[in-house]
Amino acid sequence: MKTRSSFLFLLATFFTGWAIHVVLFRYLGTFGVLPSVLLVLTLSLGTLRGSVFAETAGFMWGLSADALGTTLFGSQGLALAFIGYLAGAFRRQIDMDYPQMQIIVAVIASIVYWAGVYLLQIIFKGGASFTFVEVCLWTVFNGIACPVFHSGVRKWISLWKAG
Amino acid sequence: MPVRTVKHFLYYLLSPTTSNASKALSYSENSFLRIGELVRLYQKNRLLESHILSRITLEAQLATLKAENERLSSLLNFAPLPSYKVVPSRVIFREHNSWYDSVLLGRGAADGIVMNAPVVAISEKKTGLIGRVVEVNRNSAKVKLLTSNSSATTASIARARETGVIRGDGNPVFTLDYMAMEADVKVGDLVTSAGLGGYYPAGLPIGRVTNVKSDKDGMFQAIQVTPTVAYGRIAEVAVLVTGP
Repeated sequence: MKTRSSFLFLLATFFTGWAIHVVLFRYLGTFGVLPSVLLVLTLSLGTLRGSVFAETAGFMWGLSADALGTTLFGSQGLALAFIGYLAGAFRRQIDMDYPQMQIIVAVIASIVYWAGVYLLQIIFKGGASFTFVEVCLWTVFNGIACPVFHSGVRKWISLWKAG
Repeated sequence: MPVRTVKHFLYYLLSPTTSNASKALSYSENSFLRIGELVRLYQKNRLLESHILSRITLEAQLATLKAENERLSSLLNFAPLPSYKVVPSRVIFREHNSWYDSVLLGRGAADGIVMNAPVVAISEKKTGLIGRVVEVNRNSAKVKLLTSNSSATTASIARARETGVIRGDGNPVFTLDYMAMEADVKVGDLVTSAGLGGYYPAGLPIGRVTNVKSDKDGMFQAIQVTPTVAYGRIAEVAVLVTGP
């Protein structure tokens, strides 16, 4: 029963997160000022629900995003799963109740994520598909967006528990 | 005498109390009125705030629609090449880690988009070839951008009447390879598609030369080309489809 509920929650989280990602792109993406929604959501899920849930959701989101692009398939899935694992593994050491901490963690996670994606693209494709300036900008956007998304994820989890 | 004294004493004792009580009562009455007024003001304020918010939202929507309208008008005014028809489409998805690699369009095979169809974008009233369709579904199409580090196509500089190969490097700057040392290439020259690779028709603008380096010992010039369109902010595109 619990397993079924967890599975349903994972599916609902996946579709909701994906919908947010796509809708935000519609309004912000064309200007390039879009935070990495999936990364921030995976990070929040990791700190609030633990490694297994976050890495599964991150992997699913990453694979979906990879499927719509033309870069190395699985690179984003792997990177997001890794972020989910790290966030879950360090959840006891990080006090994510404060927005300042959320911003710092989001910035660190973004740096780890981009370093991982860059490495994978360099190894398997011979070059990255983004520039350093954009990565810096997106990292800042992730930091700004993290407190909002973290609070949203917290509410989403409590809503599901209440239901 | 004692009566007067008692009266005065009582007066002395009670008059300030009464006065204060009266003041207190009138104050409390006013307070209730004020609270009522405050509630009304609060409600009015909320209403006005919501009006202002909706107005701000409407203004933001208006600005977005205006910009979109301008871009779409430019797309409609884009003169297609003979034997090509234009299928306008919106970019519906673009992933951070493949920002200069690909975009996903909101139109597909159902709208007549076919594999390898060239795609043109317009930004700030400038047209530029951005890539070709590499995957088509019924209602979406994936476009591989020229800036992708696995993209390369023939390009020419009309003024110099020279042809080379333009190559993407994962960022919004191209490299124009295989341009002979004696070729007369200058900064500001327009680079267009040469039409030799089989995918793109000739004459579509790609970018402008921004840097030319001549290596005395080398066989070719090192030429840097900046795209005519802003690759970072592609919102709407025109897919060129052959046919009536």
